[in-house]
Amino acid sequence: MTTRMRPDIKWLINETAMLQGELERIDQEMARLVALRAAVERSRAACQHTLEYQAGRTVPGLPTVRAHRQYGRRGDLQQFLADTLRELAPAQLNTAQLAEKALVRFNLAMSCPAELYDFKMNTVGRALRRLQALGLIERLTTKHRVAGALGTWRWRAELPTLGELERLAGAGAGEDAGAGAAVGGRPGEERPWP
Amino acid sequence: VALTMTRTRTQTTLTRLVALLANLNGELAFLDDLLARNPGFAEGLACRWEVLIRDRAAVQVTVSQFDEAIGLEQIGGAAEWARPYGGRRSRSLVSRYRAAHMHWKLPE
Repeated sequence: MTTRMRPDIKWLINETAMLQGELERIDQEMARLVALRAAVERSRAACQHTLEYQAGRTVPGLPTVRAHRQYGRRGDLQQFLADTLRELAPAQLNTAQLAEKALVRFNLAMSCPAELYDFKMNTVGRALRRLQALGLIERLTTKHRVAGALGTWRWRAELPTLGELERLAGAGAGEDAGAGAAVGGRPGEERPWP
Repeated sequence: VALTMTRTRTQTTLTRLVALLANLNGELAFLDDLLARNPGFAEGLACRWEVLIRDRAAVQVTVSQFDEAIGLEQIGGAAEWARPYGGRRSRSLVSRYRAAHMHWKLPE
């Protein structure tokens, strides 16, 4: 005979366990940030020491700069996104997939979902729109595309438009008429197929 | 100074940082050698030795911050540090060096 657990008890057990898991995740993240902070503070202190050594005097009260995230050299993120889309062409990837690849490539860790969202929408999104403006990639129109949705991107292929194909076909037909026996090629040219 | 967000690194900066590290290496090697040959100087020059060790550690971290791919162990010693004492080959180097640093105390 099975006993049925009261739903409120079940929910409370589940919710307590979930919050415990959340606390564990926060503790892990905090431990990572504490270690990272100690390493950054060590580097800051060393740079300040060297600065004062080289300047020959104390340099107090330096202002703070929220410098660019470390993607290597300036423009490296954009270059990485362009390379990824070019290598995978004609495959299409959305912003989230590209952001995921960038996180792995640059060994980045996001401390919370909000930071990851900002990284996708602002950092990666802006780099992709810049590549689009340069004409290197194109944003695809998908049926899921709604305002605020993640974009889907593809390396822009050098494909002729329908108009160009028509013009090419027209030019080919004119040459064929003039060439007589040389069907399918320019006059005097060998046929490219057997 | 106009602070920037791009953290531009130049060859000149790297050269100066590496030269600084090489000079600290050079002076430390000289001091280690001096103390090995004259154990009696150890007490008087201990403070200078501590300062050099601290400065070198800071500069090593700074060079790594500039470019973590740089092999610190490949940076040898330079002799520029000895110029204020009359040069590395000067006979009076030891006496001038001792006069400058013997019983010197760390600033509070």
